[in-house]
Amino acid sequence: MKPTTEPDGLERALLEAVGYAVTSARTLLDETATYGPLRLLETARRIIDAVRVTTGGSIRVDDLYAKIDAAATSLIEGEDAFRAHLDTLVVELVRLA
Amino acid sequence: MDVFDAIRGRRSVRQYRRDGPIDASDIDRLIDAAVWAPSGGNAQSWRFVVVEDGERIRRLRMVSPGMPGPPPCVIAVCQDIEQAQRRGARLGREKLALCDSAMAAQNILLAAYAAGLGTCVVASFHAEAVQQVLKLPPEVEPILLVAVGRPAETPAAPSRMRKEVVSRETYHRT
Repeated sequence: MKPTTEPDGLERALLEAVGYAVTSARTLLDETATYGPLRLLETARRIIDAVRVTTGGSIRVDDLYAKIDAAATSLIEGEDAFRAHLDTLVVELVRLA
Repeated sequence: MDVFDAIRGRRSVRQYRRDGPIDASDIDRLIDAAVWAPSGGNAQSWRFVVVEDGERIRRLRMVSPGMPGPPPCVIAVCQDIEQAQRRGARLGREKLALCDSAMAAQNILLAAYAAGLGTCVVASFHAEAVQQVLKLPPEVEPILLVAVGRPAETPAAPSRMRKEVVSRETYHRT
């Protein structure tokens, strides 16, 4: 079925996130496994971007975005630091949800 | 800037300021640096596509999982594979095309750093989709994408191995 209208802001942002996730699924077949978590975190950021399109964001969402950024950046410190950041983030998200 | 300062100071920058386009003269300088890179047999089969349109960069980022940003500029380092084959035969097509692209990209990175710009080299992208976004003809393949922008972060330097990777005279396993 062909779309009859141009996507609106939210649909466009979600399409972008979906496009990114699907492209990652393909490129990851040829890449190191370590990239997998990074691509998932970037997909999470893009979903937050889509949420911001409709809500304009919030302190909670901005804080979450910053923590996802910090987790992604921590990989440069080594896998242990990355794991610890992700553990902390998962526990915080359980509280938020 | 001393070339060694640029080599040691350059970082992969993944966050860029959103305060407008990069000066055209700076981009010209980056391309100048790229085309002065060495190429095997002087083939110069590289092609560079400078992308500054926000909508096109948005689409590029969708099919380039390694792309940070969004950057205000992306330089696609491509190769005319037919020319690489004509000038360098199989070696040119299979090896030199990649090596030449990497050397041109490194020149871009160092020239950008000297101009106060940040860069990130991206190899993780879907080549066919990038070809479509950039309207590349079939014989021109994207090899690397270089994100360019004013840095919004100062990444720490990752550690570097030295004694483990260098041998004298003959190879020594570490």
